[in-house]
Amino acid sequence: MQMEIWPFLALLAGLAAIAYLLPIVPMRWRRALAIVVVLALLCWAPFVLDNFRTFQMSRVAIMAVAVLGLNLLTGYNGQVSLGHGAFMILGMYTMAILMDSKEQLNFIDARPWPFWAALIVATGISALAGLGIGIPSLRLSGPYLAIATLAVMISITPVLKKFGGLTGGVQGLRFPTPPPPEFLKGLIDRPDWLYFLSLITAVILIFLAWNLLRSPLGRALIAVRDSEIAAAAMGIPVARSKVIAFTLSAAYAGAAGGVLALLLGSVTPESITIADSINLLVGVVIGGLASILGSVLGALAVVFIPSDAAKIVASLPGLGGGIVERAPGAIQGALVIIVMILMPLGVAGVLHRMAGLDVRRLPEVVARLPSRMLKGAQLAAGRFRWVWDIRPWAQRRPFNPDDY
Amino acid sequence: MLRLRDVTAAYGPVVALHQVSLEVEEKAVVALLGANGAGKTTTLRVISGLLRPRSGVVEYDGLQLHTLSPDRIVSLGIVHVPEGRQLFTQLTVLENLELGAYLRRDRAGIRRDLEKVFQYFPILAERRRQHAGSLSGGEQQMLAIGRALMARPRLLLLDEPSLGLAPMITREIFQIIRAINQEEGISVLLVEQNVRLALDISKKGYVLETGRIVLADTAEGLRANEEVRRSYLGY
Amino acid sequence: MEALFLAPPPWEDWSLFGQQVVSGFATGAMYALFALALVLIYRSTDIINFAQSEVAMFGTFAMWSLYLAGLEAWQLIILGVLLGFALGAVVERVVVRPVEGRPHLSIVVVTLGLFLLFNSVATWIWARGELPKHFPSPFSFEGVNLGFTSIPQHHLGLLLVGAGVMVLLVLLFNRTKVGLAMRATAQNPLAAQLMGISVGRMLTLGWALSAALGGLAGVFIAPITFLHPGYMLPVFLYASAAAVLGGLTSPPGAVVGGFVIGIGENLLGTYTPAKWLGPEMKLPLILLVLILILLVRPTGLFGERAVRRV
Repeated sequence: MQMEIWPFLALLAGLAAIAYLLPIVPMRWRRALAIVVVLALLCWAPFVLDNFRTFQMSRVAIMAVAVLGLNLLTGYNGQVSLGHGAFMILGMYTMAILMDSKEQLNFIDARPWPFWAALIVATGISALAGLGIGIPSLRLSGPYLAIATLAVMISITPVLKKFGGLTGGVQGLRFPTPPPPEFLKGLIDRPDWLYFLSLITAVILIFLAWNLLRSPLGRALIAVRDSEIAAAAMGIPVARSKVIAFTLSAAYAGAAGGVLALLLGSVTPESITIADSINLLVGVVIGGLASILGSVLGALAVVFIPSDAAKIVASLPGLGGGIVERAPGAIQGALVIIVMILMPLGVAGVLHRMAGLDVRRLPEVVARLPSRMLKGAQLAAGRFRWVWDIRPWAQRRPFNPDDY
Repeated sequence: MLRLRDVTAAYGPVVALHQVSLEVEEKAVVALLGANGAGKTTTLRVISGLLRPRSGVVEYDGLQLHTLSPDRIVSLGIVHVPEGRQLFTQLTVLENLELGAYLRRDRAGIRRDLEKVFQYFPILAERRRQHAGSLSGGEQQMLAIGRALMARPRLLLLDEPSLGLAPMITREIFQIIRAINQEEGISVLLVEQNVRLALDISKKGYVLETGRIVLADTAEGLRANEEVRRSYLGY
Repeated sequence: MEALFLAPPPWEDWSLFGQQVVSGFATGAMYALFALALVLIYRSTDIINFAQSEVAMFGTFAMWSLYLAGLEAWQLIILGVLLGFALGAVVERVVVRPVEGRPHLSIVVVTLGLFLLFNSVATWIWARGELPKHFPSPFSFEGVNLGFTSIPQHHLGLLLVGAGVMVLLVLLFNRTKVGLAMRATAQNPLAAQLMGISVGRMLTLGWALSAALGGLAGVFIAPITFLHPGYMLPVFLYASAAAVLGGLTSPPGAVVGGFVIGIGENLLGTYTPAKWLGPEMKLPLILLVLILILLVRPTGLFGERAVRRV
């Protein structure tokens, strides 16, 4: 059977919601149940989706790892980086160099490495790079760090092109992607195998992050984000926590890059652009800062919004043609802005609020929905009143210092 | 002149004022007393328009103050000197004073008022070119009051003018507040922890407890009140 | 022996060196204006406005349409500034105001969304046919002899207009009531409101002024680089490097940073060691220098030291 991607994702979301909100399941099992349902459906995905959509789902898994990595740094530790694409591309090149059978590296055995060993090394090298950048970054904060990391990302493309001895210059490197293992031959083809590789990597790394964030180290990261001085006063080594966050976060980005290289079978200096690097941050904030679920949702957004948002909007009655089809970026940009205005805590923030819903009260909630929507619309209208109300004496929302 | 009737105000779900009613008369000093978190600052913020009341009415010369924006309220002559002074620390003393007169257009009047502020606070004239952040705590409080005077107010809302100041300087500032009230005819609503000093210069006072007015009386009456004595005066 | 540099070294051709420095000053003036625009937003809203370059690009393309309609170059400059002003005000009112007071990252992401929006719409409207497009300058590109060297008239114009606008900005912020109110609002919005200043209007004005500066830089740079949807992005990068170098909160710092980056760009582009680096490594080299300077002075050359409350 074949399925389109959007019905599939709707089915996924619906079943997960049912599993999570099922009143007969005890509270503490619901999350586990929802995760099992989601994973089961994700394993089913390559058999019902066409090759392009399977490829896109592999990208979602990879981006989930990268966005989660940046979220560890930005959401949980409060350091903003616009340069995480640089760690991704480092992971990609490490992977390509190690798996290339040609004599890229004279000083290493010319035989290609197995992909799993290469992936581990790619992760490790990115982690080292993260350590190397994380230590000097201790001196920088906020926008200075953001611009410095952006500078790293901007510089890496010309550097990769210029020093082609190792990187293959503008052409980049190509290498054979790994075939499915013997015992799965015939069951799944190569793209499906790559999808499962991405999915497994994502599941392992998400699980590790989930554990880490509940450990003392995870709490230290969060404490440092909330107040460095207070954290230091409690005996948390602030500098070390920040460097660890940077290292971990770079390792995640590097692992994501490594799997991405496997998926593509090639890497060029433009495999990851500045736009991709910035998109990681957009994914973090749209999905939800300091949220694992948010990172996955952010990954979905950065993969599917560019490819599908314009088409979907254009298919709505009365909106077809014109700007929607000719300027897909406009839809993307508008969508990002609207999500930020309506969902201060990202998509995950909305879901976290909805998670408290008791299904037995569902009819009641639905019945109240129209009046609540009206109230929301009134609130929104109030918020936008100054747009059209330009009388100078008109009353404005008072400045409230508690908002800050 | 100013009257609050059954004002209830809240920060999100936390209700800070329950049905507070009070009145400030023309040319009077009125003290607003109470412990930390009683709602004194909230009351001032409702009056100056920083916080919209959830219900109730704030009347000022027949105007519904709670429907107006903060800048409009300033233009009506109600000026709020907030807790912690809130100076523009990186601007000079003179610039701070100029900003106090932001809504006024009468250049000559502004110049006269500047001279008047310098008469009340001669130290500010000396330091007019210094950054406000470089002043001492007492000087900063003087600048905050002077800046408010530049708006030519009819009612001053003073929030904890003694905060963080040495007793001697506090007394000096209170004498000036009294002088401003008597010479300029400016009404003052005074929020203060130092109950004794506050009652010395006030005509009457209100005592707030957890967001409610629990006592309203003349200054003498409050001083004589057993409860006030034990809780706030300590004898 | 192989030449050390692509160009003859300064000691062999001082005229070339002088030309590079003077035209570096000229482009530096535009970087400085653009950096000032970034500083203006940073001081009032605490973020770097990533949409800055695209708003300027959008406005300049609109001016290009008017150029086709027959307007003079100097009219385009005035209209470009006014359009920038209007765009900035609209952007602040419509999309920035609803997220004001939210965490900085939310506002940053909104400006990234604006970047996409403006870029995409401009591409849709104008990026047809031949690109890049020619944009007129009120000045010519003939050389003006300065004695030791000569530079194009347009560059001289850049320098003079840039300096003039900076003087106007100094007057605005130090000699007018509105300027004082804007500085006060940036410093302490709560206190500004208690003075009767309408904080919202000051923020709108700040964004509008910032976009007007961007628009001015846009119409002055387009004749040099020609017009295409990405032409302001390098300017944004250099200008943000300049602003960060100067310290983000400091207008004089942004000006100094702009000139340093402008001259540095020209000299690095001319005198890079031919064998190893070459002109395509100009940007990475400048950014490397920027990072090194930041490591020594984490808040730029003239920035306020960050004081954090507990």
